[in-house]
Amino acid sequence: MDPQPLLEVRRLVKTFPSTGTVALDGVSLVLKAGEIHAVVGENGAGKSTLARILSGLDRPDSGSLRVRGREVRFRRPRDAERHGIGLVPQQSLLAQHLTVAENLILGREPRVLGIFLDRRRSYYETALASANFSFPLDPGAVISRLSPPERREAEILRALARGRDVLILDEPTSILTESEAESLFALLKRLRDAGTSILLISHRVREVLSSADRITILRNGSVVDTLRPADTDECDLALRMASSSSCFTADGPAVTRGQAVFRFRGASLRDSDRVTLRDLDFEVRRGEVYGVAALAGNGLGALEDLAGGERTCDQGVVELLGRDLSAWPRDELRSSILSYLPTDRDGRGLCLGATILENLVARGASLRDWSRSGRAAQRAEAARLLEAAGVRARLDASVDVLSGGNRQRVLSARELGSFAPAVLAANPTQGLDPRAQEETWNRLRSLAREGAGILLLTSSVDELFAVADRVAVLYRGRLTELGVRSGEVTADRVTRLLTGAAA
Amino acid sequence: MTPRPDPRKPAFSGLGALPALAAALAAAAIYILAASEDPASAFRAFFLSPFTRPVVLANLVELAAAPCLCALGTALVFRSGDFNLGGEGQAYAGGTAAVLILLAVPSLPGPAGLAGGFLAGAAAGAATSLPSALSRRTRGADVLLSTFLVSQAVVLALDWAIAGPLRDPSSNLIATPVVSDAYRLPRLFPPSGLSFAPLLAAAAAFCLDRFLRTSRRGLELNLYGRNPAFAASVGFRVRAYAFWPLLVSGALNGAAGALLALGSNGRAVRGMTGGIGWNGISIALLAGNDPRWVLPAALFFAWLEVGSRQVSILAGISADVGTVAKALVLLLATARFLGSRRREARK
Repeated sequence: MDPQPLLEVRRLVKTFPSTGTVALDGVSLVLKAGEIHAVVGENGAGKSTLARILSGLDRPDSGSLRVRGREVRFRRPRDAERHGIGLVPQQSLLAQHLTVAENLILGREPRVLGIFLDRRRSYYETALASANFSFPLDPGAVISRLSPPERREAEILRALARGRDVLILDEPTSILTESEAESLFALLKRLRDAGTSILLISHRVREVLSSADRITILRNGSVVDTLRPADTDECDLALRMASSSSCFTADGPAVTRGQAVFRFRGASLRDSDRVTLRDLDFEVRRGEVYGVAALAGNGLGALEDLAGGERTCDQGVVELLGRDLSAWPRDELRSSILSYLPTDRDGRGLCLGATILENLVARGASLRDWSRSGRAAQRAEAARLLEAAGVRARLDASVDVLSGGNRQRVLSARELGSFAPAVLAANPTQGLDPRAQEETWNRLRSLAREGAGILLLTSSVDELFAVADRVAVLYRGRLTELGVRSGEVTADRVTRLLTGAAA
Repeated sequence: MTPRPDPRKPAFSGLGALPALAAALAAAAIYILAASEDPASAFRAFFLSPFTRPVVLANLVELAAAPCLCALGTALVFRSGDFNLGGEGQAYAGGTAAVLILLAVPSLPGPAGLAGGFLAGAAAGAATSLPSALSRRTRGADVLLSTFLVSQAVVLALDWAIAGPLRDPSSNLIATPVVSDAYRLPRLFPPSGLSFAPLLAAAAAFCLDRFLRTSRRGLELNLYGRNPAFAASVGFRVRAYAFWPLLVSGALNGAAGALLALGSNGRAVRGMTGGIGWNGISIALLAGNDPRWVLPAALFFAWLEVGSRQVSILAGISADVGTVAKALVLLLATARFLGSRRREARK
């Protein structure tokens, strides 16, 4: 019989009423002492929510947690720490201007006479912990000066200082290169051998297979299976993560392509601690939907910034209709040349606090003619757009009152309501129900038929297959073109490429 | 992005402003009750006497004009997502510049001189806000701080200049010489001080309201003020919106200063702005930064001001009663504003 499980999760349910999503739908999981247990799944499968609940950042709606057989309730991160559970979150919690040692003791500072910070002891403790796990970290180094892998180590050290029985790592390799990731996994194995249990959250199939002792697959908030790496392979795992295994449909794309709309030539983007885009070379032509898929942390956001003209590349060039994108005057570009559905809908795509009407007329001809005489016409046009989008709300209502899905519809109505030769659609159906999703896809396809060149950036394989004429995958900042959709390009193959498994 | 305050939550909309107004009046009433031997007549003096005599009422309306211009300037900058705290110095500079220009050319026809004086005042106010506008546009400097600092420096410099090189040695006041009579604001209803200034303020409020609600640039400015990242992404000229509102606000404050200088005094007196910049901010907050409500809010403030003067003359109570009431309005209007900001942050 197995020894008593260290951490046991039973039928966890977590819903987010504001968006109506069910993040976890009865998840059960057992973490044994001294194992590396991976939780894999696509974006939105519920992995991060699970990590947040286990570390006391979120509370479940129902279900129970047990630590060493005793039922526990975590109300705040400190509760989890008291039971020996430490979290290494995706986004750093380190104070950038403090040293490694200072970060480690933050909130539980050793004191002299109960008042003064015992600096010497905190350095000593840090050095000791660092040496214990053979981290080559200088306790006195300031975080902002460290390299990404060193920061990861500092982050792990910080989590270990708070709870050394269970270490939860949420997508720990998203900012690391492959060789850096390898040394991280070597470190995790050392920790495991020293007795720490590790819950590793990832969507990178290959990493998980080479490092985990057991793997739990999450899909849409439910556990699909828990298995050993020996019982599966990259292909099998990737397929079981995917929420659909559809292949390209046979109706075939319209391959009457024209002039290049977007053209990336050797475009590279360096970022201090994020994924670098390396040497992108591709074209999006008139009359086609060019789809690029990637999972979070592989550079899709950076590609969106480049194609939307929000940033310029460090090397190479991005052209729009034959002209350097950064040379276009922004107002001209956005009023009639480029339609843009950003992933950051509420920050970049919409103006929260303003009315629906103001959001609908903020671009293009409706904005140009926004004068006293024309406003009645603008209102009528906006009302028509809103109704066509299926949003039932007053034009003068604040856009804040709309649900996420309806906000996306307002955004689509503004950006896709009129023809523009270039369309950048980044996760254009986020928050939409299946019917509205279908409508958006149809709209993108019909714009392509009218002659627009459409660059679709998505983290959903379904979406990629539903709309794109040509397909590419972005993994760790590198683009792999798969070409025109055909029988050979299957969801299976795309999913494997997305997770870094060999094609 | 950090959540921005909602610059358009009108304190007047619905019943929102009523608590602030009611509290201000209640504070005045309590003050009078505590300080007066004959509360009934003191109440009458404070609340009603401004309306019983036409001359007093006319003075009240005149008194609202300059703070109204300042409040419009504050509201405009607020719509662009920032705070102009430099109204005091901008008005002081505007008033002094108007006087200096008119002292330099003493023999123009009256209307031309007045127009020139106002333009000079507006230009000086704008120039005072220029360093803040430039540093915001080029370096993203904090407008709230920079306008305040520049304004403080200008106030100190002008205090010194008016007491020193610009002073009229023949006068007992610490003030510049008086401008030619032709340049004084013509009085429409003597012996009251009523001039065309309230009309000017109303016209400015009307224009600003039209601009914000019906023009393309006004719409863009509103959206920029709420979400600069959005404005940049949809291609608005965001650099312009980080610049012009502040200059126009400075010009409005400068014109308000010119009104003060060319109105009752006809000269620049040391400390003549007397907190007009801060009054402008209170009025703008009370009006929810909606130009349509700025003039009514300014009239309310003028009522408190005149009421407290009346009560000190007629009932012998210190005129501080108006200051207390105004302070309470500022406090409550700010609390409202901060409250909505915190609610947004929590979201």
